[in-house]
Amino acid sequence: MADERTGMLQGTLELLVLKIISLEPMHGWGITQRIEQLSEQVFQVNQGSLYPALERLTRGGWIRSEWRTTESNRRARYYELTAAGRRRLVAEHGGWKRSSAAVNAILAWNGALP
Amino acid sequence: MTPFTDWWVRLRGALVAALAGVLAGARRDREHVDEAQFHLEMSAARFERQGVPRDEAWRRARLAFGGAQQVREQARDARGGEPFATVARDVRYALRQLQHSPGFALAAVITLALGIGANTALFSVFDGVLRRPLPFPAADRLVIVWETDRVSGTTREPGSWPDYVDFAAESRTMASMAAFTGLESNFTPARGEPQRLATMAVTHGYFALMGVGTLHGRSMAATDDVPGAAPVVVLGERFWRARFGGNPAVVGTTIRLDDAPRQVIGIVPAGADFAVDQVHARAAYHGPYSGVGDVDAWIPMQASEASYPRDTHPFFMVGRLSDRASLATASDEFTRVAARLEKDYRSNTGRGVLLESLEDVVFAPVRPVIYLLLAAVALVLLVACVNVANLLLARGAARAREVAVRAALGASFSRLGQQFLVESLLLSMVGGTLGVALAWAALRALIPFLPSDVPRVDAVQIDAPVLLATLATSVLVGLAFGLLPTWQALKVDVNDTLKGEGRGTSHGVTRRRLREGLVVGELAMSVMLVLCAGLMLRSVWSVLRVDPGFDADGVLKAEFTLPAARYPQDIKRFPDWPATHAFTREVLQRVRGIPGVEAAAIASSHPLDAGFTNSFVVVGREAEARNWPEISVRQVTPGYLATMHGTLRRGRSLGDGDDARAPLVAVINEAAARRYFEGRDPLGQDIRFWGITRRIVGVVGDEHVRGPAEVAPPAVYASVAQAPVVSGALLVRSTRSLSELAPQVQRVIWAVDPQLAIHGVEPLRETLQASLGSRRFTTVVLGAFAALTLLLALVGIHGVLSYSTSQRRREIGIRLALGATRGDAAGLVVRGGVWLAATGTALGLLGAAAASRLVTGLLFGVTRSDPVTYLAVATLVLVASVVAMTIPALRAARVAPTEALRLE
Repeated sequence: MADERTGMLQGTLELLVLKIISLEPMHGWGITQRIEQLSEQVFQVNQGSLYPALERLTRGGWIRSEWRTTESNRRARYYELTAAGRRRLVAEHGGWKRSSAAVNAILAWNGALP
Repeated sequence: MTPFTDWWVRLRGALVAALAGVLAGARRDREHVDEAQFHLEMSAARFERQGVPRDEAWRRARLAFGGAQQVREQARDARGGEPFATVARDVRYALRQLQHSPGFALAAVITLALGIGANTALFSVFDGVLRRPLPFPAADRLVIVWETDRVSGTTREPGSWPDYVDFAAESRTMASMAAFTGLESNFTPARGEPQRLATMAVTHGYFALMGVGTLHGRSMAATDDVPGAAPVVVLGERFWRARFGGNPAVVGTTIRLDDAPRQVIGIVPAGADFAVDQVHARAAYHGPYSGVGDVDAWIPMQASEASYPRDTHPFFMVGRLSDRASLATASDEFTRVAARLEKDYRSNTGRGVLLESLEDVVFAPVRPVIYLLLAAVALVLLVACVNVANLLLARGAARAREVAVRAALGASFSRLGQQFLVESLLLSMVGGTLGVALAWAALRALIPFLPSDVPRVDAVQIDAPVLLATLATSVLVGLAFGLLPTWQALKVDVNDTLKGEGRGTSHGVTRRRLREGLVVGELAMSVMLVLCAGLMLRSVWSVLRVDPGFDADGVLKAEFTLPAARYPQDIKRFPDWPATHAFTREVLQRVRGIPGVEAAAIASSHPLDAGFTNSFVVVGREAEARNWPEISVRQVTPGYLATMHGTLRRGRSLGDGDDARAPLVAVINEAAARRYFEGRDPLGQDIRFWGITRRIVGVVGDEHVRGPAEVAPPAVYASVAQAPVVSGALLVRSTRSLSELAPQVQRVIWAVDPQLAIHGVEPLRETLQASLGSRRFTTVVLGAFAALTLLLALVGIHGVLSYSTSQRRREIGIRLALGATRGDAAGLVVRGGVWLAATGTALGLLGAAAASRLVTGLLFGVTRSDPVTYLAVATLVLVASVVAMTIPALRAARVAPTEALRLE
């Protein structure tokens, strides 16, 4: 299922989430902000996609969450990677690199056979 | 373990299991909402930092969030697949909500349990007693034929044997007729104590007419029912099971009844005696049959005109209408026959007939009471509902934020509505379940208070129809509540609420108005019930305050019937019945020897037994006497007046000298003196009944033998020594505890006659209270309902005032800062409360003025517009309301002036 506004594939969103929280635990809002910021507003994550994605990842055992207090003293749910999540991030990242390289290779094709 | 407890245990197990499963997901759901809320806030805050005005910022945040809730829910539904999933989720959510406010949940569940429980209890009474048809085939065709007496004004008398024979022979409107009469007999078992049996003498066609078959053996045949036929008996199922262990081999054996052998020919089912009690209870008089419910034995009547002449009326007549007849056509026909009998026989002067359907005879006395209480209990439920609605509204304020968030998350109102509905249904179901348990306990407490003439009390139970009705009630109640918060939710301004500014705005005022309105309504309904209960209470009090002409306190009663076999009753030798006299003498002598016994007497009827009446003449005024009503004839031993604390008005009372050898004397009561000797001196006059002339030697005070609320009938007292008693009561006055005395008195009687069955051994005070019948029952139940609703209404008042006090802390703080005293602060609250209480009370009294019409028939010594009761109820309710206000008032008084500085 693709996100209508960004055209981001569902699997891609999950990969991005895994990547972002692999560096530090983060809450949902933070994740959306970080994706927008890093993608220079190209990706505007719809919460309708984000939270179900977080739930799928949780159920898959790749991420876990806990309630903590933010700097502004509010309670929020922070997500972090599990060991399985780290392995999955590595695998998916590898997969992404291969497939994006393949896509790029095809798109860069000028008609000549290799 | 009763079936009910078994069922309850199973249900409880199921509930616990269901709850455990549901609770697991509840936490997760809660976290989702919190998470979304946080996300929204952060998002809105960011828009604000960009300079977007607050309202707009929130709107954009919600747009950006874009229906995550729905998405998640759709995702779940797709996952869940089974229809139960969304409901289960809603139940989880509801449980979580209730977890967050256990106080509210508890209050709501208890209130509902009380309301629903009261309804369940009363509905089971209605269902068991009234709703089911009579247990006879085509019971609506059964008719009781009463004789009426224009002279005494009685409309429900048993008939004479020859009259019955003529009616049965001449009637074309009746397919068949039968006669019956209750009597008491002594059953002497081979082993163990003798037992008094409730026995019914019936014409042989009785069972066929009623449509009752036998469980074992045969029913009566015409040959059993002719004078001199071999003595047979048919046993009732309950007696047969209790005494003979339900052994069919009893049929064909011989048992001893009244010291004579009778062959058992058959067993009839328990329902065969239905309505017999009620017919006896409705009658103006009947023979010595105490009407204690189950008929133990049935014997053929074997009546003839020789033994039962036309001027004695011991038999109740029942008929089954033929297919073409109606009650009206039968009435016409019987009236014509009665008119002819009146012309032909002198004994039938003034006699007519009254036909009543058996259903009316049985149910007419209890119908109004049960309908009245059903109306009252509906009111209780309404008050309970209003109370819970009030609680919900109070919570509404607290929940507004949650509603707003969920609405913001894109939850549609129908979605929210479903959620609230599930929540309130959960409350009402738990309340209903608890209510059933309460009802079960209430019934056990209630049944002993049911008037003795209420039919089928044993059928009152919490069974499938009752449970169904309870379920329906619970669902209805739950739906009613579910709509209230939904409707409120529709009015929630999402933006205001999310910004935490949902207070002090216009709809806060609307909500307070609504809650105040509910409390006023609640109080008004409660006042209606309290007033009706108050009128009933005053009636019972008036009845008990009536001087019945005897003092029931400290008197023990024990009833007996002397079997003719051992106590020969030779009419030709009357009153010379040595065995009977010896019994009376011996028993009284021994009873008076028991320590602590002050006085004792034997009477043909105890003071709360109307006994029987007889026609009589005053010698020299025979012509006049033909239009006189009959007189109540009572035989007593000389100690009677002293035992019952009666009063002698004129002349002398019966003494020990008035024995069989002395001149025959009698004493009459004041009612008889007024009725038959207006303007004359009764003393020295001769009165004749049973063909015997007695001289009147005294006048005594009236005894209310039909119960304290009824007028005392004219009565004549004859000495037992000159008019022996074959069935009657021993009355013992003692300073000791009557429960200790009872077994001693029984032992004394058995010392005189070891085979005599004794029954009705109880303090006369209890007999007196039981005689209050439906008046007492109604008072107890109505009183309980009224107390319950008043309590709920007071809780309502307290709740509303507490809430408004907490809302006005700042205002109160300002007032205090500006110099108002603490008393002023408390007064502010009380003033508001008193206004509510006064409005509710006033409305309630207006409603009661109409509603009290329902209790009019049960009132005694007080009118339904009795100003004292109105005033007392108003005072009571207002005082109670003020008490309910004290806590919020004190809280207002304790507000610190610094509250004024508190930021909202």
